[in-house]
Amino acid sequence: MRHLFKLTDYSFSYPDQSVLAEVSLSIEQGEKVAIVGQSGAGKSTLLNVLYAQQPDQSAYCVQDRQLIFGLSCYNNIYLAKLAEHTALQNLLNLLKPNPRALQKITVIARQLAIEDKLHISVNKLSGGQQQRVAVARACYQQKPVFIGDEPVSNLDALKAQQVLEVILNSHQTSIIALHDRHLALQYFDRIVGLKAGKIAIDKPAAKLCIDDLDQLYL
Amino acid sequence: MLFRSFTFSWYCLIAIISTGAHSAVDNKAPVLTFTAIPDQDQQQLKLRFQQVADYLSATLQVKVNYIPVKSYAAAITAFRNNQVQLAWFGGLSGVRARQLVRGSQAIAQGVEDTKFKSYFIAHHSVNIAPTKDFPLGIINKTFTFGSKGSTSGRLMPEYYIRQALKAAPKELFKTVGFSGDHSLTITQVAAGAYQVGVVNYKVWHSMLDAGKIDLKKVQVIWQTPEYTDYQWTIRGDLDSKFGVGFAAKVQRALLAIKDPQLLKQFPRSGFIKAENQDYAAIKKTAISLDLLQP
Amino acid sequence: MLNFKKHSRHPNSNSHQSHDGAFSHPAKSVSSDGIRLRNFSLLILAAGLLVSFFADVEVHASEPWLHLQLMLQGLFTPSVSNPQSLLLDLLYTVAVALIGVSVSVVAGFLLSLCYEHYLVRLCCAFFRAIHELFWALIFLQIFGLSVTTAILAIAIPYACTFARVFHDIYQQSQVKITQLSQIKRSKISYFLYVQLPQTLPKMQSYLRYRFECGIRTSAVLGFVGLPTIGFHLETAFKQADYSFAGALLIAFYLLIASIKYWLKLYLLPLYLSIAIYVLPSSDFVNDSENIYRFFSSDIWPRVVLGEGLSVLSIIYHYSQWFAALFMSQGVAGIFNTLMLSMMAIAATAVSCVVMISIIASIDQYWLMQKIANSLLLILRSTPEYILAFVLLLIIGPSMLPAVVALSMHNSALISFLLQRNLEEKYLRKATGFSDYLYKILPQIYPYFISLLMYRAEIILRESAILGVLGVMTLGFYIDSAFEDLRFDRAFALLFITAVLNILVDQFSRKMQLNFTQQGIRVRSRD
Repeated sequence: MRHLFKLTDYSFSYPDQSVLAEVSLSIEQGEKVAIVGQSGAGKSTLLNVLYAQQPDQSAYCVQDRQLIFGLSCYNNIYLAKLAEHTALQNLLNLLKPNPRALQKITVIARQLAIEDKLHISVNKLSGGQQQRVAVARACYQQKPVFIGDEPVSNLDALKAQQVLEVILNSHQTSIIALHDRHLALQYFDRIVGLKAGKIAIDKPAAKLCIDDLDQLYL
Repeated sequence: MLFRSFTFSWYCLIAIISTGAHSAVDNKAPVLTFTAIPDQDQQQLKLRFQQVADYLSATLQVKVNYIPVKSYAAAITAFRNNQVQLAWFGGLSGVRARQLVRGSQAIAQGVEDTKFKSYFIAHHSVNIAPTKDFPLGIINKTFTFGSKGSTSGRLMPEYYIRQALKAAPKELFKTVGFSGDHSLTITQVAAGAYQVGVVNYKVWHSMLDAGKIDLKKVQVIWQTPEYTDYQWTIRGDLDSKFGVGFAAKVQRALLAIKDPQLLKQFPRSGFIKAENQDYAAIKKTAISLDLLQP
Repeated sequence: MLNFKKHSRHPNSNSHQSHDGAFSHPAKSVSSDGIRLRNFSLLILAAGLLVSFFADVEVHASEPWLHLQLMLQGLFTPSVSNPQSLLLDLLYTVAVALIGVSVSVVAGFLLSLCYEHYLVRLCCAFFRAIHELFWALIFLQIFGLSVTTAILAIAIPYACTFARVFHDIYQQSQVKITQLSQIKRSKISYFLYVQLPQTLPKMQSYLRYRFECGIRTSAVLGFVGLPTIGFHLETAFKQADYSFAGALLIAFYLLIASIKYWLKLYLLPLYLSIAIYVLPSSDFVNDSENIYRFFSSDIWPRVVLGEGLSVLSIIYHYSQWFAALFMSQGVAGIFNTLMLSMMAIAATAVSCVVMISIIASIDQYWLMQKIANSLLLILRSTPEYILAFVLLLIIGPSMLPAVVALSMHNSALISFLLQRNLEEKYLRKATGFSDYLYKILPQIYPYFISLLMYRAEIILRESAILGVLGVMTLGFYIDSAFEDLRFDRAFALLFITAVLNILVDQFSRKMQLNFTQQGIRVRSRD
């Protein structure tokens, strides 16, 4: 079977700084992978590289959310499918939401508990709510693969669990960078631990305990 | 609330545009409009030409309007574009206007306009005594003309300067300014902003009579030889709009001005016939100074 | 006074990087930006000083006091014989500005969408380089003394400015969607959903500022005879009716000061309808004949209008004629314009630094702050023509009053924009001079330099209206050409001015690139 993602001895560096060093990794369809590690360990870069391998298959929820502040939540989510509509449809949608899109987006927003915020400008929301809008935008793309860069970092424990469940249930394959080691152990099949640009751990979650992961943060 | 006022204001805009579209119908009684070059005090001009408008209106039995303009060129342009049909021009502006409008005629001039002159004036600090000959003391001083398109404040003085000194003003004076009009020239020379200036002698005398000049500060140092200046010029295509012989009627009306009150406003002692040929010398001078195309 | 500029740093040189997604490179060392900015400022000052040795900046002894006394008396005893007509003038002034700016913002917005195209950019730069008064003089030939002339004279240069500024604002939109590579393919949608929503507030704030500019321009257009407040203002000044002039100026200042209270963008359509309603539908001359005549014969010299000339000989004659004009007026005009502009920019820079430091230092005193704000408003709203007129009486004719008038006006404007910028950023206010040096100045300095360079373009144009001072700039020659009804010369000289403007703009950009790593991001936020 063909690997969905595959890296062999992959290195990446900026002119004065190495980010990833000789990373080898392959991810199959259907896997739920958590990527953990300290800030600056190379998680975001790794996700970028993976996304670049399957841009058409993946919905990518980036860390800085890339929400457009002048737009309502609904339009921020709708943005994900801009390319599937004509410019005229998009223009009309700004004036009055497209009913089909609105219906689909409402379903997603309900799961993420932001249904009541859909028609509010996104800059009026709290950080956690904004984060869920960004997740909703990725989910609305309805791609088989979800790549997320700390998509639940701003949520309280309960919300974080809910949102993770929505993500994992609606995607065949998920690759998510996380800080929360408990969540990683609880929800994912496989955990990849990064330390200083190298893969320090790559094991099924069942074979790891919290102490193993804490090593990464020392 | 906000939204409602927003929509309301849009409705207003749409309403006004749709009503405005068909309100452009107006009555077509012919109106004779005239203007004058803004050579001095606007207040003065308004006073003077409102009286002229009233007089012409009564004499010609048509509505007559005066519109003020801001520059000599604007007066000429208005005449050229038929915004005005009659104008009180200076020598140079009249020549220019008639060159642009085929068939237009100089019809009347003031009695004094056949023997017009300019005064060179100087601030007391430069110590130039009044002379009969060209005052050589003005060389290397700061110097101001009136308007760029003025006959008595620019064209003729520049001509006499070049004739006497065989050089362009730019090379002769430290700075050459254009004050804008004759009253301003007097103000600026009196304040010493410019050391020397040149003005229309009529404006000088009327300001002097009005007590607006302090002779301790500024005085006349030389007067130019005489030349022809102001005149009334009329477009050539008036008869079709106002009836045959209308231009001649206007001419007769202007020549018949006898009201001393009105004449004093100009100030002229009376009006006499003029024709385009009277301004041939002005035209030649203007061409020689590159202020007019042949 | 100069050494404290060492402390300035580029505040934003790092911040925009983080938005470019993870693929961007981290900023290289930026420590030298402050020093570079200082060097650039020193260069501007040195150039100005150097030029002033060669230029005529002499003070001519004079006795202005009698006249100045009259002026001051007039300003402090404002009187209006006919308040109704004053109100009508103000109404016309505002109405012309409202319509002109509204037309230009629509046109400018459309142009900004295709501003990438070099032809559009070139045309905009060209049209911007021509002063509103000259546009008015051009349209005067076609539409006569009418409201149409006034509106077009505002709308055309403003549309080109809007195009440039909106385009620059789009470039500044911070969030770039990297996660959805395919949406960039649909340019219109991307613009609608990503760029426009982010930049709309900035565009609106710029539009509001531009209305103030529009009202000022509209007033100045009265100087050529259009029916706005400038008409009577010029008259009053010319005939030394200073009480009336004072009343007009005070009314005008109040109008400008009140803009922020009544100009709400959502009420704009309402205001527009009132504006259309009140403006006189004067019988303007919109003959197509006039337009044809203007473009087919007025603006071309006699030598190329003869019958049966071949294209080649037309080009030959025109270039010969153009070269002669260039030698006789163009060279001197360019020389004087550049000298004047360089001195004015240096003077503007110095007085700006002084003004903004005073403003920042007295920030905690409410009354002083209000006084400073009013002074800024008065300085930036008083037409340069009037400033030059007063200064001429005090220091006599030379480049000096021109430099002073230009720098007073422009530094007040830049200080106002800087102050607004400070307020927008909610920067902590300085509590004293040292605080100002270390906290405020470094943050605003790059923006200050970019504003200064943008104003350079405007100073170049504004030098046009100072012919009363006997300073023979390009504008002086253009004005003479219009006054002599030599539209062929006016057209050629306007062309020279526009090209000069474009060259100077290019040059100043290059210079700035040499002085900062990424270039001081020249933003025409004005």
